[in-house]
Amino acid sequence: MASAPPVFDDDMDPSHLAELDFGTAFAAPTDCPDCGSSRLTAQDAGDRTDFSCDDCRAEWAFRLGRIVRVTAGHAVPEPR
Amino acid sequence: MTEPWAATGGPRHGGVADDRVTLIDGSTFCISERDGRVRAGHAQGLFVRDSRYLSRWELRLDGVLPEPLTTHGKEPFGATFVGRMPPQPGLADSWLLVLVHRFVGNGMREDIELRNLSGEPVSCVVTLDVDADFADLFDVKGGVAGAKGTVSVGRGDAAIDFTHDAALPQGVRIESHGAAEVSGRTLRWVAAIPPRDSWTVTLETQPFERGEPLPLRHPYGRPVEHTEPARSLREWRERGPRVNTADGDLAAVLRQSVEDLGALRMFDPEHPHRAIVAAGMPWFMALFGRDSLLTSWMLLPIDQRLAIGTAQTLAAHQGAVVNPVTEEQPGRILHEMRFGQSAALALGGGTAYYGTADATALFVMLVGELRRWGLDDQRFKELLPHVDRAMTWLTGDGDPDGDGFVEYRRATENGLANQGWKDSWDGVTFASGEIARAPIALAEVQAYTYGAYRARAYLAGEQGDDDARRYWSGMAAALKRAFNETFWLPDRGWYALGLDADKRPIDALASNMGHCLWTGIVDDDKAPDVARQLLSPELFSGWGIRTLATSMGAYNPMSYHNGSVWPHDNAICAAGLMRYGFVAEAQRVAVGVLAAAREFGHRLPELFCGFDREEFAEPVPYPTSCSPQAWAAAAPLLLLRTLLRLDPELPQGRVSCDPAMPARYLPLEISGLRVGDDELTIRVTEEETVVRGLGTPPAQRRRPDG
Repeated sequence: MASAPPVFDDDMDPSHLAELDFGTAFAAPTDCPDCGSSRLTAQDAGDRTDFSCDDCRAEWAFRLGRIVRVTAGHAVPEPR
Repeated sequence: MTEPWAATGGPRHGGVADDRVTLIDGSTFCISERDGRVRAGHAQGLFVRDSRYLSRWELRLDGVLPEPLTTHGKEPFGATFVGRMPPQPGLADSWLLVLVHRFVGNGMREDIELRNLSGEPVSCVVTLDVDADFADLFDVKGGVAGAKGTVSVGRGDAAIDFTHDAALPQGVRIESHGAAEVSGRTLRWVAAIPPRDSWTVTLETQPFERGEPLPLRHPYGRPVEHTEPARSLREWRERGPRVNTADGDLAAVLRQSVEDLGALRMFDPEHPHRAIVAAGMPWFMALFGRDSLLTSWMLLPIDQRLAIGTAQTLAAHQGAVVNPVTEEQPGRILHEMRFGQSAALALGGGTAYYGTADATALFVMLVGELRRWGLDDQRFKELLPHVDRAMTWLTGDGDPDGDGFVEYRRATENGLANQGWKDSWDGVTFASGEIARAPIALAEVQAYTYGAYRARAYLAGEQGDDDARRYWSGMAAALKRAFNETFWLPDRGWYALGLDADKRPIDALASNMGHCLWTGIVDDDKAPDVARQLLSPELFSGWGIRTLATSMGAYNPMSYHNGSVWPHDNAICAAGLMRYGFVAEAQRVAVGVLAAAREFGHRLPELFCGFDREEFAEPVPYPTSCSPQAWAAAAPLLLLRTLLRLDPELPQGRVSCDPAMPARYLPLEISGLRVGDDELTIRVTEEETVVRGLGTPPAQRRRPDG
């Protein structure tokens, strides 16, 4: 199929571009951020859903578009 | 580096000022002033599982509030409030820096640090005034907070205990890790700080339910983990549609929509890959039937995953039995639910509450629309039985008096008094201001029901079931006829907002009738009057259509539902105006709302005040508005679809696109738009529209006038 005539210059202000990649925004975590394992399992964590890595046992929570480790047993130092 | 207090969920710098800081973790959130202070008597505090466990939190040094400097933080659940001891009289500078590190999660931990930047020792008295009222979250948001039950105060060793004697016994302990004096509701320390040194104390605020402490997510002695943006962790990024426009503000608003809806993502532990979103941050971090259905409808042209996930999730929890406490009824789609074994709602006490008059019809409409956008046969077959159970509710329990109109009346005193989208206690009023009495049949609920009947007829026709198609088409026609005969007020020139318990038309002039345009229930001969009213000075503020006209008795531009402007409401009204051919009117609404978005830093809030644009040059924020909020974030996408006049009917192999974009957004191009098996590119200039990528030869149309 012939390409359509361009309506935008290549050097158009990039702030005028919106990438509507909802597929990425709505995707569930699939890989452990620590060890990279794909064996990440959703689990009921009381009032939210956490993701547990079957390999390294790290647990993760999703919060406002960010992911955070919630496993208590990981790298917890002694109280100061 | 100074950043917004929450990377994806916080107020923007610039635009309309927002003086609140909100931290959130699961069902815990804390709203404070920018200096970290929680002021008594305000819609602020620490909330856990829908109750307020702190209603006051005020730090003072020698009896004086620290002077705020800035707020740092990129974690949704944590922030550092930076301030200083106010300078001594006659001096310009202060030598005492105040750092308050706050983390929330099943309670709150706060590390207070005083740094003496001078070469001399400093001593000061540090006090913290606290209080807890255990008020219900919705009462606080509605400005009617007050504890139900008795709150008593006790003191422990360096701790204050509040206990709430109520149906659900609650308590909270505020404990100092470091010796403190306790007096009433005040903790007190004497900080003696050597030169160039610091003094610290940690406070834990631990809630109790039925005598059991909730485990703090950030307890004393444990370092706090930092987050990563979830999207950046993925090696792949799915290429979605791209919008290129001459208008940088429109592009920024659309980008913000993606960020905000992604931030509101929730996960069903049973089906984590089904996309669903919470209604809004911080007040409504739960799945709401109406909100999620309308949000996913608005997204349909861009992404169908949310609509599929929403429909599947709501279908899985569709009402099965009669339960007056939760208002569950067979076939009814829920109003609100939370996942998790320990989740509980204020309404009904369970994890799901069903008191909504409109979600069931919206569910059917969404499934019908999904099919028009190409929903696959397998998932369609799985959803169809749920559609039919919903139809049974609409024509059965949804219409208990059998007059053909869906109506609502709460089953218990704990249920919602109003069960349409204007669900505040005073959200449905007569022109005089009198509050309408239930059972109430709302105009827009009949419009959605009409849409549901038509959707079911479409689905039947698509399956070759002519009997069902004729039946549901007949139901739709009968409802439209009855609605126009009963709800139209010829002496006023608008539709009644609803019918009250005595079948009296609720004669207020409100935005609800814009939703009637949207689904097509409005007779053609009445549509011009509706359009004229929606754009009248009484309803149109310049930023958008008000929920209630300025001429009405209950009008208050600073109210939740009686004169405010809601972006999602406006997007639906604009779609309705365009449907009936009121192009200039639809453009005016769309341009007004998008202009308001620019003023809010490109993030549309749940609502804003209804003051006239000529009175204030910027839209006035509503104090307890959610931001981000799902259907407000999705509203620009429906506006875009409306202005493109994009309409699919994929099972029939048709897509219609006849743009009516205002010139300010042109040229505009959408590429990568998935429609069935095709990937479309739509290019719109002032001269022409080009659509490419359809299986058929490219369509080329002239831009319509207007």
